Amino acid sequence: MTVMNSTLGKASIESLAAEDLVHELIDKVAHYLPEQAPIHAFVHHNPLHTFEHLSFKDAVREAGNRFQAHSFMSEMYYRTAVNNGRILPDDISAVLEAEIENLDAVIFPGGPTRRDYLVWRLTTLFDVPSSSSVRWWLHEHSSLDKPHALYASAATLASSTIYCKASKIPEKGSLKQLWLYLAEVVKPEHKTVTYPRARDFYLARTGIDTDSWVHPLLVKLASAFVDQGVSNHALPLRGQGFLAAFQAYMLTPVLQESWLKSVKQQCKKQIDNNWSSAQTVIHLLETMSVPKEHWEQTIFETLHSLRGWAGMFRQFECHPDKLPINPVPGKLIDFLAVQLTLDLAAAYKAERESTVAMTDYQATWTTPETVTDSKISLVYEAFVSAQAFTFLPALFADKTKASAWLAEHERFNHFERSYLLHLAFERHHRNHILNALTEHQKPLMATDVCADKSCDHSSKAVPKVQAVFCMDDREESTRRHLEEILPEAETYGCPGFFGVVMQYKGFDDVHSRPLCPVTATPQHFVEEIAIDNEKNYRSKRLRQGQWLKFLQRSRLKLLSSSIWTVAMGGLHVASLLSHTLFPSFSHNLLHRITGHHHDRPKTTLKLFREDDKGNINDQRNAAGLLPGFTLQEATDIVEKLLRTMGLTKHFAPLITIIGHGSSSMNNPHEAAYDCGATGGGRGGPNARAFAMMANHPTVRANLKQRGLDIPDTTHVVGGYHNTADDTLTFYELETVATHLRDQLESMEDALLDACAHSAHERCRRFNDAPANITVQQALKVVQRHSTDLAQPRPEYGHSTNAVCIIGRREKTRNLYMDRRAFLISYDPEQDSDGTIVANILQAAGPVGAGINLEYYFSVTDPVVYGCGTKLPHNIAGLVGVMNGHSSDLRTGLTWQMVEIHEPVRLLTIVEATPERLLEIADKYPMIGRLVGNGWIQLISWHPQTGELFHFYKGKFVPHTVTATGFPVIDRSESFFRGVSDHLGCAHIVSQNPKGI
Amino acid sequence: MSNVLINHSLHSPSHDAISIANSNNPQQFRTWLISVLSAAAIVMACALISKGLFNEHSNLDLTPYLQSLVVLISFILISVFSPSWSTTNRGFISVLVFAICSCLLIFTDNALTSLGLVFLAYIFLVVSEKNKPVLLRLLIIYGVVIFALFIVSNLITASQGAAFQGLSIAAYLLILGGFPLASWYGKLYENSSTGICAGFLVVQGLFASKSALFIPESSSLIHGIFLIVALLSSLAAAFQVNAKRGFAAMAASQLLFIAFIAMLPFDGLAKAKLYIIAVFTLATPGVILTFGALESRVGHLSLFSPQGNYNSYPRLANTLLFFSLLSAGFPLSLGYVGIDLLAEIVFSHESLIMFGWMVVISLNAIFSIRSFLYLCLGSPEHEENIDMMTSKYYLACGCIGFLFLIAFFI
Amino acid sequence: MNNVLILLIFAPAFSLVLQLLRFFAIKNISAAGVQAEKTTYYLVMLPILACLLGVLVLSINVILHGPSSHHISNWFGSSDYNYKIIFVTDYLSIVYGLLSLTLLGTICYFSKRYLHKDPGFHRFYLLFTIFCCGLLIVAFAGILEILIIGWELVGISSVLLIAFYTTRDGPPRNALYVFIIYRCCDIGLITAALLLHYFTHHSNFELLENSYWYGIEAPHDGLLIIGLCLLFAASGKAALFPFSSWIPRAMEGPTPSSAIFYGALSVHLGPLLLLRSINFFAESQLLMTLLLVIGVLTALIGFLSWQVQNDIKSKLAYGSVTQLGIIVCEIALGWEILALIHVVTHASLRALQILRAPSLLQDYKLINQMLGHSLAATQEYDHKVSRFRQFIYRISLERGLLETFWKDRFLGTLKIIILSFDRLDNNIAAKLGNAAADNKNTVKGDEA
Repeated sequence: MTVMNSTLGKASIESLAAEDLVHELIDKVAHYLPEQAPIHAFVHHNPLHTFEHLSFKDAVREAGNRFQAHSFMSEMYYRTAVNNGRILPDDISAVLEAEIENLDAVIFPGGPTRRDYLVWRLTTLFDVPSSSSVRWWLHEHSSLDKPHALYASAATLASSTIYCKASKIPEKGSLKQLWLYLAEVVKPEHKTVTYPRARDFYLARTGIDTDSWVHPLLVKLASAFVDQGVSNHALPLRGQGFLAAFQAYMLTPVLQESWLKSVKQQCKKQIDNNWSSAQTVIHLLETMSVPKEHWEQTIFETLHSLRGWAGMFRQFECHPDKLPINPVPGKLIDFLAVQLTLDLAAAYKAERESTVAMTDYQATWTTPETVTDSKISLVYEAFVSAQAFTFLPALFADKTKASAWLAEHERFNHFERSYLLHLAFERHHRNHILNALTEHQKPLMATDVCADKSCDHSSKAVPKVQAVFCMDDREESTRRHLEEILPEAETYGCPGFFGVVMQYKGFDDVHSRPLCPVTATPQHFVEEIAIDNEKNYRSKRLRQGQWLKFLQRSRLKLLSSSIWTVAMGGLHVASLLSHTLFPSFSHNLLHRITGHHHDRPKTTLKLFREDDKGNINDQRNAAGLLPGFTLQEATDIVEKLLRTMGLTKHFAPLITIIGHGSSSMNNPHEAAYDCGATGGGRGGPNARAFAMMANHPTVRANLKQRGLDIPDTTHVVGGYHNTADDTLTFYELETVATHLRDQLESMEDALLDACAHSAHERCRRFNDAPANITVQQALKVVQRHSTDLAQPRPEYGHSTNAVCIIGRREKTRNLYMDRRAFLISYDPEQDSDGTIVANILQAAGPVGAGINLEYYFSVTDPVVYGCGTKLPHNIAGLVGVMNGHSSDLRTGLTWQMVEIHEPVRLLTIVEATPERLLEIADKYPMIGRLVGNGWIQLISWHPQTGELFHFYKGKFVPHTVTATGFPVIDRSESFFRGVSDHLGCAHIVSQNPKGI
Repeated sequence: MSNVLINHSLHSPSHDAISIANSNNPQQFRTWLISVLSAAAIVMACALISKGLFNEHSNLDLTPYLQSLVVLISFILISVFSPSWSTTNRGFISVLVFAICSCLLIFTDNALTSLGLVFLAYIFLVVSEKNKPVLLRLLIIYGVVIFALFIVSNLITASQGAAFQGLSIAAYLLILGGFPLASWYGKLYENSSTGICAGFLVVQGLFASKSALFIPESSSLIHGIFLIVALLSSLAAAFQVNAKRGFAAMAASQLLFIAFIAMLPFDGLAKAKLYIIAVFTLATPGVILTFGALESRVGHLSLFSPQGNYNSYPRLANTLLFFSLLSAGFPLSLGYVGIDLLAEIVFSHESLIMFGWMVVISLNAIFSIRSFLYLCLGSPEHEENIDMMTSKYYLACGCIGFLFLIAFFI
Repeated sequence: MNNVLILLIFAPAFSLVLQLLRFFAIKNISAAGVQAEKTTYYLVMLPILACLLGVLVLSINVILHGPSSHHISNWFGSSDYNYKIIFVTDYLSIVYGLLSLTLLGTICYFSKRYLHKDPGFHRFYLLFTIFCCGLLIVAFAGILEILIIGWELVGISSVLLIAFYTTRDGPPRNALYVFIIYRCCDIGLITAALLLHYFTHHSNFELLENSYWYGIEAPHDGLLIIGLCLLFAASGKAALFPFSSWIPRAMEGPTPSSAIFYGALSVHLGPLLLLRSINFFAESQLLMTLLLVIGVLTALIGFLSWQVQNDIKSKLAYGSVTQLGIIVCEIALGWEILALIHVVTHASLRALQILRAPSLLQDYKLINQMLGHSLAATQEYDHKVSRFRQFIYRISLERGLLETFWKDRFLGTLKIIILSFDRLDNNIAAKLGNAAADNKNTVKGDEA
């Protein structure tokens, strides 16, 4: 039971009409439900976004209490980090210094200081039994006879009289005495509780969990209601809403479980009175005599017992456009009404099965019950640490001292300790990155400072190739390898929709989908159309499709399905064997048989709504979207992106723009591996559209007018990177001018090579790839990962993301960052007033933070925030996954996605002065909230001096570099080869110094 | 059902920190007892082996020796497993008396002696519960009734014939805890330390195996009565929410089963009886001991819904699973062999009653699996280091392995 | 041939023992890493391959020399009863053996990657091996007692695999449900064995007249009751009417275990038993009609439920039920060979379908793309729905009401009776150990 205070004022509760109140409360409670769209449109977001107005610590504490969730990793995890050197003693003391007031105060007169205690406690992990097992624990370990293993492990002030001699084993009986002194101080705490739901009451009183009766039925009905096409028949009357369909369902006369009789009566009553859902809810709440001021709590707890399904109903209500196929009028209030109806009936059943009457429950609202909370584990904890400090038992004969000692333990409970350890963990990581950045700059500063300041820019050589990638952490390695392979290449990073906000419909697609960040709403509709051979292809596909449909349909009939099963028997055996034994082979074979890749017609994008003569077609389509962009709009898009990235001069003859996505088999969460910046879509079309825009002669001309002189010899090529099997596709290569052919080929080779090396680097994380794998083998491994039915880890997605660097690539070039960094190109020198950086932060901040925090919470609590292991997942109604045959819809990321993730808040390093960043944070509340409340760690990287400042408690604190060894390597490969753990940064110096 | 739960939520085992300190006595008694029992077991095993080896052709009956070996092993198991009885002098003495009583029970062939022994054990059971007034009173009342019935029937049966066998049967059903007649039985398990319960269970099992002494002329009617009570007990176990109460009902039905097979007049049952009693004296106490071990770690055991924590105590959970499977006659184990032999012979005489017992055995298996699933699986919370200690684990595995392996060497 | 047969049973059993020993030797095996996973995998895979080879040898033998029965040894016995260990090699056993081992090998290979790094990896393979043992024993058993051992091994390993995920309460609940049905239906099998002994004094399988495989000889006395017992046993394992409701609940484990147990192999043991006892149905018109009725009802309920299931695994589960019903019909109509072919093809199809169930979204997308429009199989009833439609829908969604009947009506009634006894028991205890004493209980006496 979470004790939750109503946040609506008492006055407003009374003034509102009951129905309005219910609506208002539901809206309020709905904010706390998971906001995950149907699974095909998975978009990363902060699971605690409702709490973003609070500081990070308060938010995770509050959410932890409400959802019974873990907010940090286990203490064991941090303990391992201490052992592995991922947290140093320095980090802990620095964190203590910064976070704890009165650090040097003594806990009780003559005793250790708070610092002594905390330093010991944070670095020492010991098992504290739960209160029910303390008795057994003491007995099993003879704790009252033998000193604890940690005896005398803390630093002592041996001179003081309160300590035993550390070497001496405590005499017989003294431990018992110590225990008694400490135990005497603790009084069991009495609390009054109310039970928000009748279920909680019966659970506490009789051990009967009424949810075990209600949930299976509710899940069955809810999934029948939201079903998008798994079943062949829809829930009758679902067009009229969940409550109506439920009532009709319940009133159907069949043999039913006996407790549902009262549901039937209740439904009859509801229909007879013609109650709306809100009226039904009110009626039910009143039947359970919940006082008005507790309605919120009851609604909250009720909905949260099946938060996944409730959240899905909310999604249906708020975003009907995101549904895969059938728009179903799902409403959260209907769901609540149904759940309460069932809850009430189940409570009556519990009443019948036990001797506890419902009236007893109703009475608890007026006279709350008292429960006793035993604090015996706290005594144990204090008992062990008193031994560690070797206190004389007699010391605690003084009750004030004993209670001070216990209070200290209570204050630094598991939550506080984990928080401090987590801060230390983050600090270590932060220092490592910042030190690496500083170190990495040194040679750069030495040689290039003059170049930046005095030397003329035009003296810089024109690069051979410029490649623009998504900011995605997965592209970090691709970029690094490209630069290693082709030192004359320059790479850029930006959010992977490349400024093209559009509603896109691919040639093969049935529905269009937005390809832009979730925060943007597309106004332009772009379609991929065939240039030739369309009819042939379509009819062939249709034939295949109808054949498949025939098979599907024939399976729907009783007898034909058997004939089908028997007749195709041999094929099934063969298919089963080949799919499991030779996944890549059978995948390719299937492709070859269906063969649509060969005769897929050439396509192009219907991108512009303005023809060469300047005629603009402003006819909006049925969905209210414009059919493509005008050339002016295209110019704006291209200009904005180029200026944002600082790519305004020295255009290479070839510029490639590469979007990305991911394909995998047997993976309901496939969309979660796609590009976050395109709202969980695949960014290839965006890159293609951008390239088409940038190549358009009118756009070029317009750009020239605006001071962006792209030479005519320069060509922009769009491409698509599949991050799962590391393949690359380029679009419309035939438009490349002949004189660029050679360069194009070498660029293609270099890019493919870079992807192969990136695959090679990824393979170090896969246990099925040998340590000494070659690049070519690595490609095979990743391809197999993406086509294998048995592979739950097609790739690790954004796992291990930790850093976001917004700045010039020159400064991070040749720095090994272990695929852990979002890299966004930004040139502070071309951004005099700071509008560009503000825009970048606004666009990339929430995306980066959303991804980072989704991974953070999915790994800290895979049960509540994540969706657990994917192995038993079962797709329900095409909208989400359940565990097994009937459970709550699971939201968040699977354990297989996040298992190697290290939870740290995104370390956002921006190449801008602290003053500018403060200004931006003030001006844009969204950024201010993310930064000010500590949802991301913000670092200011001074563009001129290269100094680093850490934003901490409202101001920027300079980072002091502690030079630690910084590996220097010749190639990335020599660093990562054979290592499967996390790697730090390294400095790559093999190429000619020109490359830097 | 609900009453029980309320009782528990209100008077849950007190976590009063101070009482813990005071009840935590040294374990010297336990160590002492274990060594005595082990020595006895070793002597017994040696005797058994030598007799088996050297007197191959003699007609010496090895059954009692084998039985006493099993009994000793089960008492070693009890001494090693259950912590709470060993904290008091009275608990220690009671367990010791149970051990002595059961060893003597094996060798006695006299109705009055065995009655005396079980009476002694009962007295010590009562004594060990001195500080639980409710239970004490219940035990005393039932004790008086049971033994009055026995004595009367025993005195009269000789002269008056079958008419007074009824009394004897009633007494039997009461002392074996047949549901729903013997209210003391469920309460005993609920309130008493599992070590004491397990010890007394062994005594009861051996006493049940002497049923032929008390009911010499068994008939289908008597068998039917035993079956019906056992069936009710097993059903009660299967539906019970309180795990220990459920166990009590299951134990009662098993005790009745033993009493039933012991009074069967058919030939060729000696082996089956021996095997089943051996399994019962080892596996069933094993189950209640693991229950106790679990309860001391997690508090009250409820079977309403899964709420265990396999990740925290995998060894304990596996031990519970195997002990329960064994006690329910899992294939390839000694119990399976025993039941198979028994069923073959009895079925041809009393088909319907044997069928009923097969149902009882299946119901007990369902209770066993249910208790494993609901007590050991379910919760994601993880607690470190509360699993079984290695020594205990190996001992338990030894017993389990013994019961499996021996089925292949007979 | 005896040696080959012993190898068949012994190889997985030996692997089982080795795995158990490893559990002892390595303290925290789930943290032992990739190498340990590999070792476990080979410990399971090699025996399966060896067995596969063995079955191939046996099948050559069967083709060349016809079916044969092998008396390996006696296990235990008393004066008038001997527990015989008899195995048979005939077309039925080699077909089942080959099917099982092929699928087991495939799934074994599949799971190595699928369950990689799962904390229960080794437990999965342990249960998998028990399952393998059980299947082989059932397939090759030449006497009902031996078949029962295999039958029970399959049952317990299935149940423990349903409860594979230990941290949620769905798996144990559903595992219990399945166990109850399995265990109750097993009584039928045991009783059948006892009855056979009673009437014919042996339960060995005899070569059937058509000489393809061995079967239980139908006795003159007790034909009907033994037949009913066997039918009862088969219908529990194969999720036939009226026990179909357990099958969706079995979908709690990891996908490969669902595929192999409830899609492919475990459920088809029912038809195996029916094929072995085909004589009974040939002899008795009544039994055959009953079998046919059960088959039709199963298919019907399976079909209705299948139509409206809205999660992919339940849908596939009821697809299985439908096919099983049809297989049973085929057996009842005397088309045994067809039924056998149906078993083989259905097992492989269903295993494949369940294995790729998580690809549902991709598959739908592909078909939609090919068709150029949504494959909107779902028919909407928005407004007026006939009462009959509603009625059929509800029956289908509640899976033929079987669960309601068993859980609520049958067990529920029993529960009420038993609990009233329990209350009585409790009240007596409360009366005798009276309330006055209860108060003293709260005052803790301390004896130390």
